[in-house]
Amino acid sequence: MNRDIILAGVGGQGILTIAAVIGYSAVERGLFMKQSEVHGMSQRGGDVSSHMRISDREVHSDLIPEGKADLIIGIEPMEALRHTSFLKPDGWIIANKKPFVNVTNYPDFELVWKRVEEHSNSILIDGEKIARDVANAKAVNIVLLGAASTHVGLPVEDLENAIRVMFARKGDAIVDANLRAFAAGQKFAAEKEAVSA
Amino acid sequence: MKSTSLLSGSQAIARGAYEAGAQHVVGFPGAPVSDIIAAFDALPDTAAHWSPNEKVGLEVALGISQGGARTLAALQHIGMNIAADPLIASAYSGVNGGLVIAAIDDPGMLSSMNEQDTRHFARAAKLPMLAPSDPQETIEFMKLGFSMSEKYDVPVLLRMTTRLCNTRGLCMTGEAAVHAARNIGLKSPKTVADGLSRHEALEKQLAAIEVFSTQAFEINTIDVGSSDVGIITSAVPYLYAKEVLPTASFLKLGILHPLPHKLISYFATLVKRLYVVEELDPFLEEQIKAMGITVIGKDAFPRTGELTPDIVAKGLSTEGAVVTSALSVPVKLPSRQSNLCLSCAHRGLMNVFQAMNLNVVGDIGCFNPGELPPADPEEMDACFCIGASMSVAFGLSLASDAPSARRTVSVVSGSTFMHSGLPALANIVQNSGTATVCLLAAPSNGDSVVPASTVDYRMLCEGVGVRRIRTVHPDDEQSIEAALREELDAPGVSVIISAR
Repeated sequence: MNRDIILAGVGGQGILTIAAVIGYSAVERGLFMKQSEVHGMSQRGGDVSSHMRISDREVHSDLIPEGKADLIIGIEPMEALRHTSFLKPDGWIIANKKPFVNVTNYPDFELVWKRVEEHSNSILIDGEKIARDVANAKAVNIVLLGAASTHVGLPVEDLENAIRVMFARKGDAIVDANLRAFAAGQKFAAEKEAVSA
Repeated sequence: MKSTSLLSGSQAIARGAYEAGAQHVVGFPGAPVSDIIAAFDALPDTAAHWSPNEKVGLEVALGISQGGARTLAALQHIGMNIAADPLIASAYSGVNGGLVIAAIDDPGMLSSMNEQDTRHFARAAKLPMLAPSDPQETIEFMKLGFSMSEKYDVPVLLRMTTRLCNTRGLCMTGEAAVHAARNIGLKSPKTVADGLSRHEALEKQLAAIEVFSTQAFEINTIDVGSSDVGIITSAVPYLYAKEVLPTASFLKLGILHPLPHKLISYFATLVKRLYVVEELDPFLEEQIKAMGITVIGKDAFPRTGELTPDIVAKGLSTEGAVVTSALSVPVKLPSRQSNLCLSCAHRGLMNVFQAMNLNVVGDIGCFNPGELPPADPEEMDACFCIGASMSVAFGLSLASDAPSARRTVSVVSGSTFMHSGLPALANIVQNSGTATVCLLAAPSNGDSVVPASTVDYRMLCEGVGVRRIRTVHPDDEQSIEAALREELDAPGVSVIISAR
């Protein structure tokens, strides 16, 4: 077992939360893992990414070499594209649709979405709408994780359990909201993949 | 009880110090030092001592060590420059309680503005330096560092990078050792003769550490693979090289100073071609070449920026490392500018600077005006190093008597004023200079955790002889502009304190 995952977004979008959910699940499974985080200016609208490497064998480099990632989870569509050089040709891009615009030269939205969808294994998802429908707008990151869950390389129940643990101190209502967000993301992706197949 | 957890390199530094029985940490806030100090402070029976600058911090650590307790000092690479004086003094004085100094370099400038290679400090200060490659090793090397420090009577440097501080890996954690305070009494060279004999003693200790290093096969590890290709490397670059060319033979150096020369010579006999893979300067390469050994180093790998698995693979491609052809990014993507926090107290002031077309000499900190959109890059003025805004502006005024079309203002925050700004201000007064200083005393990021938040700045400025001092509210742009116009025309030194 060997999964290289890139999480991408903008500071404040909850990248490190989904990294923690995946990381917790991998550790509980007794797998090896390394995770690299780039913070720095993350609180101030900068781009944030994390490389996660999960394996049943020892992991050396924390950074994923180019062309080796199995999955990119992008909570922002341009940030998902920023990391495509790391993706395997048959790797998956699961990207949120809503652009986070804090630069004057943000590319044309339609073009960004088109570039994501041109990749053969990709899902573009309106995370905000799904999050609002089943939980609250803040749960976009967990919707995206749900949509990507079958490509993470870990049992879905493990990820759900990790969500329970990670959000436990915020109370049952928040745990349940995030589990609904996760399930809704998962359902959306399953339907989308069924149509493409 | 041992347990497994996922720790970052920063957390591992703190954990290792804790498990070694250290109860104190000193440091000045900044990424990733703040993470280390916060992680240490969160452990039981520990105390964090935030200092106004790194020199003061390391001196406190030296005192704790002289008093017999174990202590960790956490310094950014640039902080090492500030602390160089006590650093070098500490090598001569020696330690009582173990002293480990985590020195964090920043290849790629992930959280700073320079790529200096702090490994040179180990040679300059004549201190042993350890270099872990992942969080687990960081814990182990930290514990080793404390025992080496006491055994060889020197502070020990632990060289990290921002990358490693921000990498999470699985770690076996254990209990904290109980470190009984050692009461051996104060020691420092008192005369020149003392100093000379301490220098001789230090050289002997380094020779003893090299003997230890040559035999420390768990720290300087040899992994025998191919007899064609050998790679001498350390820290994170080791992991990249291992990833892209696992069949090579490896000498991974956990001790960067003093180098285990005999071990290196032995390793060189095992392989036909020898590479040195290291980030930034050819620190290992030059020393190994000086031993008469032929190696390929910076001819194959860059001197600037961070290494990555791909860069290392390119350097080793003739030896069979595979460079994967990557998917091209299918659209040109703009980079995202960082900008001031929405709640930042200093936005108003920055607006006024821009409206008045002032020549702004900045200081290190998140308010650095050149980074602030919508600031026009053409108007970005200067920002050299921490605490420098006032002294540089004073120097500017000395260089030319010609009236400038743009008036100059110095900007300093509370924390950088306390770091090294105060002597700069006193200097202008003593030299009868002219300056207009904006002191941003409303709390910004670092100020909340250093004494800067409780300082009476007006009294400090008065104390060094500043006569024109006024306070403005950071949101009141009209008053700020009026104050600036008046003070720019006034003779001598003016300080405008922006505070809530």
